[in-house]
Amino acid sequence: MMRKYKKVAAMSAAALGLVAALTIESSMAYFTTYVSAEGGHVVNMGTRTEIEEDVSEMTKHITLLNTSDRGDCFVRVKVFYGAGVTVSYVDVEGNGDWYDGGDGYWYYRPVLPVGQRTSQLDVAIDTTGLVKPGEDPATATEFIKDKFNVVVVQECTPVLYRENGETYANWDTIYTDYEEVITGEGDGN
Amino acid sequence: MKKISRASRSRKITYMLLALAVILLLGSAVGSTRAALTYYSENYTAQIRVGQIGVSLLENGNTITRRDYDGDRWVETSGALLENMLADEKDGKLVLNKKYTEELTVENSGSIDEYVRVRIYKYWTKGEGENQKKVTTLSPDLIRLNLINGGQWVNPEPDAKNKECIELYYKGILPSGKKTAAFADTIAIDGQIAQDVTITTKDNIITTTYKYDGVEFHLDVEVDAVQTHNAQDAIKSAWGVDAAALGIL
Repeated sequence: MMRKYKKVAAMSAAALGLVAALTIESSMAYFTTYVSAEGGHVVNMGTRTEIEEDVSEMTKHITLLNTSDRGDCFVRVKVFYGAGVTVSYVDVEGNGDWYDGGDGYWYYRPVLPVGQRTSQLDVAIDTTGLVKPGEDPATATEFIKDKFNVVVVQECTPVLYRENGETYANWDTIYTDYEEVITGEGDGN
Repeated sequence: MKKISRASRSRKITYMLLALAVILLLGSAVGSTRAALTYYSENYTAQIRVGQIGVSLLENGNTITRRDYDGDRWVETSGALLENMLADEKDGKLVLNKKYTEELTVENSGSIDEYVRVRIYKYWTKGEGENQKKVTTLSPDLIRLNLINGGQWVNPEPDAKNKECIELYYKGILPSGKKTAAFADTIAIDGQIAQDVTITTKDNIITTTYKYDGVEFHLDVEVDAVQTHNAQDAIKSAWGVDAAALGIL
């Protein structure tokens, strides 16, 4: 009898507990809300430059083309030639876009945008000092003007930006080496 | 005989308690159905405006997304961040290192005061649609969102720059209808992303290929708001942090 009484009492207490729990639940909720938004952009990088070079009357006419569909860049060229040959540079448009960097390179000052071409840089070749190996050009009696090499090397580096949006090139971090891309060959006359 | 009578009385009490419990239980369920049957006159209804919480995220002064409780429903508008970021750029191309204006602010668009926090997610992906995958070799820190007003926006982990998620807690109550001070003002993509390069030369063409060409940066911002009443417990319940320890109360 006592056991039955205890069982009924326990069930009664449980029922009361459930009723009490119903009233507690609402006080546990708080007012909250939230919003979210997202965004982003693709970073396209890459350059592709092509050199175009014509030779006429002992002068190389050089232009560079940005054939990339992605990135603008800065370009520069360097001319290599052997002993006895001298060269002189002419910025054809004369507006100072091509300038001597003093480090053997000639730099194109403006940014070269995608699909655009530089103005023309002329390199005039003088072979009057070409003599046979071992001879002094000052006293030489025989000159060899029929065979020489003048090599033009192009380089490019992507356009970098300062925080204020100003553009600049950093030739040191990306290009530490270069490769020959064109061998110009003249006939000496 | 006396013993039987006492037992009978105890049983009666037990049954009465049980009956009472059942009546209370039924009463709590019946209450709502009774409410529906109540008549009322429109002439005498009173408009009582209960506190309604709401919050909005603003980018460069424009509301991008909002979620406000209005009467019996949530009013929501949503938009995307950074949509006008490249509007002034030639060909719409992103410029590395350049600082773009990205002023982010929170507004209390509800009718009750609230506490707010923001969670900022920065990460990189590559590919589109189903093929889009996270790029985990690029640090989130290369997405340079410049955080400002550190005195009002508490960052519990100010040195954890490489974390994908940054949490900022607004110090104090944001009153209804007011805006916070901005928690960010500019965004820039670090030029370090362009450091891994392969250069190939063929004939008279030089091609520069970047390891991370075509990656996409993402900026996601979540804003959470919670009531000011019983704030310590409410914030603990909603955000799981100790508001007093953070110093935002």
